[in-house]
Amino acid sequence: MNGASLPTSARLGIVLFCGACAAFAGMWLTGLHETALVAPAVVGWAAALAASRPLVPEQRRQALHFSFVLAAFFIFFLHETYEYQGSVRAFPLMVGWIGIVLTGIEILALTKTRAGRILAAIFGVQPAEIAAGERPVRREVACIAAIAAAGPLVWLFGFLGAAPVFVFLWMWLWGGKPVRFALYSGVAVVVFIWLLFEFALSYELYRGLVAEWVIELMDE
Amino acid sequence: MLDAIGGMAGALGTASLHLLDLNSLFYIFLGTCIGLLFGAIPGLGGTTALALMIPLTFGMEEADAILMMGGSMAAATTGGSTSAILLNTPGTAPNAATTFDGFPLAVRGRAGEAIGAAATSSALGGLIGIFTLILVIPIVKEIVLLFSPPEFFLLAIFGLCAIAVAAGGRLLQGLIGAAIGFACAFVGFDPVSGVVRYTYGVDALWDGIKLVPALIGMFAIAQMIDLGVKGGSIAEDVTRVKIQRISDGIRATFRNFGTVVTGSAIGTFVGAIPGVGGTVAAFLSYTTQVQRDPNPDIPYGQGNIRGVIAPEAANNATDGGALVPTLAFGIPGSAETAVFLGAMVLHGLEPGPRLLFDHEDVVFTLILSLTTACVMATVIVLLLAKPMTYLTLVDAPILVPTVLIISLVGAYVINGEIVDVIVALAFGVLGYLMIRFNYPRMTFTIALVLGEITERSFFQAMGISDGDWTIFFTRTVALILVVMCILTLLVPSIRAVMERRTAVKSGAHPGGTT
Repeated sequence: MNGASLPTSARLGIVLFCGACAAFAGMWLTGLHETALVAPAVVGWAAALAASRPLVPEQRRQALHFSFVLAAFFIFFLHETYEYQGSVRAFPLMVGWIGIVLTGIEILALTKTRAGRILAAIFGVQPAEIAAGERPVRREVACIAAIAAAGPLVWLFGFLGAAPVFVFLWMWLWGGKPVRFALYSGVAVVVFIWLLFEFALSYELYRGLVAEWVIELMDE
Repeated sequence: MLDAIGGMAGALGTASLHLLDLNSLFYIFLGTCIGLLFGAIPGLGGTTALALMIPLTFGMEEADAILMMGGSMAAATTGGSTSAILLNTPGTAPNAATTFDGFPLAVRGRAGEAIGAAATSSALGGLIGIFTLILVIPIVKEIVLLFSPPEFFLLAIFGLCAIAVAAGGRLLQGLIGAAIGFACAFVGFDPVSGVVRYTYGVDALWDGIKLVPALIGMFAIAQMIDLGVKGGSIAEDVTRVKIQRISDGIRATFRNFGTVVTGSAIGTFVGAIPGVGGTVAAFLSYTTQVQRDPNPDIPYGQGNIRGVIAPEAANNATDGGALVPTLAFGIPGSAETAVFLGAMVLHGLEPGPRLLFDHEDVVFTLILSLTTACVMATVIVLLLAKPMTYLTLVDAPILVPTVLIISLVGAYVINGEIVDVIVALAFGVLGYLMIRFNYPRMTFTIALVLGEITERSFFQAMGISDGDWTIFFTRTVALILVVMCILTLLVPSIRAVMERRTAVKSGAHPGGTT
């Protein structure tokens, strides 16, 4: 495929993306960035995502989506950075703009166009190519959610309360281990944590909000 | 000069006699065991071990206290390498670079070899660092005084240039990872103006994102998410796990003695610069090794044993290097030596030039305790390597929740702040996404480590020179660093061009026999 045979949607995507970048640069140069950055950035971001999807092979779509998430992160980072003045924002601004440009190049490099191939060769892009069903997204989201659940669990019940519950539920529900094995493992982990951190090393582990409420109620 | 050497020999003799005492050996052994344990548990590390040891040493004689703390200091990073290799979880921050090749080796069933190499290179690196300390004590002042903010800035830039090499063919993704790392490094107090940035009302973020919880998330939790999604065990093919290959690792270390020496030299040098520390040294050593070895038999990042040897030699050599400014000027070279300095003051020893004259025996007691602990820690790790390697065979449903909970406790106990648990989890998710979408986590980590130093030293240099940029080119050491940066960036391209030319030449004159 060469540049002349690019489909219309491809040209549109590249034009929109370049337009969004030009809008950023224009706002930056004219000093309109502080309040005017968000709306056109969001519109440009969504339009570029929609337009570039057809250009990217199926197995690279997830990588494309992640690149757009990173672009959104850098847009947000830049927006926040413009809240500061002088030397406080000098380095972050540089990093934010470099980040935007790099993700822009990466998005273009992911496309199956001539420009994409050239950019991928120059900048050494090795995108994750994930075939449909190779890594079920639902399982990944469930795993991340289950692990992230440890945060609120610890926050509410403290380490000594959350550890056996988390270990038991994970082994039983996610790992399919027998209930008794999961139960014993949960108890073993909490005993190990208590022995090592509280008993041997004299750390006071976080007790959790629930314990704090209970202690407050008892004091009253 | 002869008097000085005679004095040093006398002090060395006194310290050696003290070391022969069974009590002294017991204190070193105790310190070594504590250091190994704290090093191996993610989040604790050598600094915590020393801080907790201070009250234990109150009633001891100063020499015994120094023996115990020296033992712990020398052993912590050796302990940290085992969890870095087996669980992709750096026990201490300086072990982060060890995960890049150590963990892939464990995945291939060669954990024993990796542990053997890490332990041996740790001992050799530590010993080289200590002997360098002995050699440079007389000339140390001149060396340390050569470094000021412009040199610190350029040293950080040199580390960043190494990103280009370290990305291993994924330059763009590596640079994006570095940009994210920098963005995270800007959280908290601006080092120049003191303005608080990107904290969103969370007071605990005023001091920035803490390195250890971030590393625990990026490596341990990310790996556990990956393992949770994939299932199975760390070693992908259980039948290929070789528990018997520890001696291969030891042999590999001696076969790659040049890597050990280079890593140790980098570690000692970087360790002697106050505030830079073992993490930077290990990364610099790793990236230097990647550059020195353009055509590796196994690509770096996929289980090359030299990728374990280089950072482990460097991070252990920093102990000797970091003691140079600590003992000579009372300026701690690292967080660990800062705590150690406090402990010395508690025992009535005032670090600084007078210490070298008035308490030379104490200095040599410390040096000997570090030397003994280096060897002792290695022997203990090698003895325990076999049972530890079985960790790679443990089923994911058992390993994931156990490591996750212990990692979260490790993230919490350093500062006692629950926000560090959230930070570790958030970086865990980010780390998993980076694994998933093929972004090198190494460049992210380098930028996170160097971000603050880069920004601070740049503005300090600008302040010193009244905004004159030439300060980076008119000082000898700065100029050397500039040249090193340029070479770092150019060497891969020059090498590629030369290889292409060689290929063209060999194509033009194909051997002559055909």
